[in-house]
Amino acid sequence: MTRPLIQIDDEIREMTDEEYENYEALSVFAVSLEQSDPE
Amino acid sequence: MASPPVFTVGQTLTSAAMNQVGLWLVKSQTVGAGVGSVAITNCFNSDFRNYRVTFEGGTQSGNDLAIQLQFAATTGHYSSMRYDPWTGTAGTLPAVNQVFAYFGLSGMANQATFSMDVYAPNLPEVTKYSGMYTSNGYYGTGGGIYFQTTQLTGFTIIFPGFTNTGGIVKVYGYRN
Repeated sequence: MTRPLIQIDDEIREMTDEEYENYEALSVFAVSLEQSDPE
Repeated sequence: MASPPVFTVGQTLTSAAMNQVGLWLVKSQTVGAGVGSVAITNCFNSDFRNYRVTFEGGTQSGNDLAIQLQFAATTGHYSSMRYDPWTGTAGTLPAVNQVFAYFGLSGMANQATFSMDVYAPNLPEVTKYSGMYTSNGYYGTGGGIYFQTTQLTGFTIIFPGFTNTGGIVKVYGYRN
């Protein structure tokens, strides 16, 4: 996964290793409800 | 005084009139490009017991991906989110005693919005929230509790496994 940016109020920057670790831990619980378009 | 008061240009705004303002903009936060999470800090305080939070105007890197909320980086989030599609099967998405709550789904063409009320976040009691959202393929509602008595000052919106570009988060206080 490409490391996304983190935003805290107006500050936008790259995630630290710890922040990315936390983000990945939350991404384990990622859920997709996308449905394919009917043909 | 008529209710609601109607002001004219140059009219003095009395405290009686201003004290009838029911909703007060506490914070407005523009969201940047390519972010995996956005933290809104210092938006809950002792001025208000309850708040309205809205998010709209953003585009995400995928459709109908679950968005997460985090009131604090601890367990204690109990939530359920209902999703009703334009076509297909409805359902619910719960999270039990997690470090996040599910609330909202994404959209790649500016479809994602949410609006929620947050109750007592800055008080030494359990924080509650409930609201509704739109996305690429769904409308839904959701709510839950952060089952800690921590006095919160902000919250985080997380886009787990995808990114968000743009949009505005607004936090309004309901007059006590």
